[in-house]
Amino acid sequence: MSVAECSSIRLSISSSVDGSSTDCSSVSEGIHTNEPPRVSHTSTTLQKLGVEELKELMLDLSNKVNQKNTQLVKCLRNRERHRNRAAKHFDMVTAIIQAWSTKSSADAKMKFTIEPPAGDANFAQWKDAITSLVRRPVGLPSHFRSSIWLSLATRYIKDLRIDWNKVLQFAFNDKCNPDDDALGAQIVKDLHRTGCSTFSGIENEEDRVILQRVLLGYARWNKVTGYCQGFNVLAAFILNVTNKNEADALKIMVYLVDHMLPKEYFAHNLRALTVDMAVFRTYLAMKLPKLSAHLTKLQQESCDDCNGGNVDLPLLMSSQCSGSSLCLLLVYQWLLC
Amino acid sequence: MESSSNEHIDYVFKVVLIGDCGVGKSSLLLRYSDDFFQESYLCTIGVDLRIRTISVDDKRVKLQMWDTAGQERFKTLCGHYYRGAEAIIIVFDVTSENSFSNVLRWYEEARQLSRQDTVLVLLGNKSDMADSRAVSTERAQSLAASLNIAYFESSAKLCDNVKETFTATTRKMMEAYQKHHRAHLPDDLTNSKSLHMSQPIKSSTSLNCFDCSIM
Repeated sequence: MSVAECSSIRLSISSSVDGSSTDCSSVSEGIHTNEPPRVSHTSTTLQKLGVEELKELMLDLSNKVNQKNTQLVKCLRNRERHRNRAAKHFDMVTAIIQAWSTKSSADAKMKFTIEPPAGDANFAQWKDAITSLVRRPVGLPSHFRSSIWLSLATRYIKDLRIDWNKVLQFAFNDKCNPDDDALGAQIVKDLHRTGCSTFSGIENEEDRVILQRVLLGYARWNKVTGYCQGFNVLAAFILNVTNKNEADALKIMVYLVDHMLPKEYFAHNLRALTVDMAVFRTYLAMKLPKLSAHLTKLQQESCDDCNGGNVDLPLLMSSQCSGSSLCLLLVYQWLLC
Repeated sequence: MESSSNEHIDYVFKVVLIGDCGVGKSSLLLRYSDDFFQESYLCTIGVDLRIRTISVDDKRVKLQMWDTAGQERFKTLCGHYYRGAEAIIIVFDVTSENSFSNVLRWYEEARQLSRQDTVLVLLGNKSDMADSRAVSTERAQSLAASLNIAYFESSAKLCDNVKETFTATTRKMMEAYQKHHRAHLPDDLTNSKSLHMSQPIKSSTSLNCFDCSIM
């Protein structure tokens, strides 16, 4: 039984108790729908009852309270048992992560949980553990992504010391801002071209509206970067993880684009991307020398061949470019899991 | 029409498609290389490549067609490709006044970054959408005439005039090539090196990295 259910029981008990002396309309909010309908007691109805009837009522109510208490205790025990079991599993994951690690002193302090613990030092250790897990080939299990990304993003926003609620109000404002028209036109052109089927079909109009709000929200938040083609893919992917929650998606998007990626990665003339391509090319030569040499050879032939002149382009350039997309994909994957 | 490996190739030409976002550059290429139309699934991010080998006037021509992203900030990135191109096709959307008014900017950039012998062509796409047409054929023709370039109109969706546009452009590239290289003809065209080109790349292959994306 979940924590929510426990608290619901508690609410029900307190209502029952309160209800014995005062108005008791909320008693009917009990959790078990198969229970007999509850009678509402008010001071007027109670005043009409005799002593014996009142005693009986008291007994009945106190029995009910006891019953609920027993249920509550059972719930709490269950919760404790689940927590202990989860803690054991977390310890196991921590042990595995540490076994993979370089065994430095920082590694020894890593501690895995789903929710980050309170405190700066604890958060850092938690983040180390998550980072280490993400770097494993399997990455982070997809059902934990939403919660972990959000924890990371929330922490980043908290460190910015800004009024996030105000940001949200501004970002998701329905009124038009001066820059919205040009931005909006570009965003609308790409909404159905996200490469993500949940946003592409005719029947997904509502989802596209959410996607548009997140993209426009980000562009309003970061005016220098605004909207860059490809953000639609990112935002669609994030929205799928946050279960279409636009505020959470925006937060994660801010964390990804502003913090995880190099500064102004998508801004201006995508200079940072050009750097990434060069890095990719170097890596390719280091890690896959055969492929790299093959591409260079094709490039050379293409230059020699092509109808004259020193054409400084295609294939290697193309490898650079697909490299950039690849890099982007890797970067997506890197943060997003 | 399609190439088989080891076949003889007379020309290898690079064609770059440029123009505003959403005018149908990728759709045109998809139609031409794979004879297929679909509402775009993913906007072009960066650059994409498609290849098709055709016969024009008894010559075998391999076309490497580069598809570019339309957004302003990709221009510098995609501009690198103009220099290597034998032809640049400036695409606009006949239903979008805005995409037409940007043609001049695209033209100037293409002229600036390409070679002298690069063939420039203006192409109005989405000619099937007669009801929402915003740019008349006459206007587009007169703009093309003032820039001294050819104008074509096509519909990638209905496969109307797509093949013709590419064939005509190819013919222009062949003319430009012969004009430019008259001194070296004809041996250059049949030297052994040109045979290499046809081997590693299969016809109509997309190298867009997103095709194998992890998402």
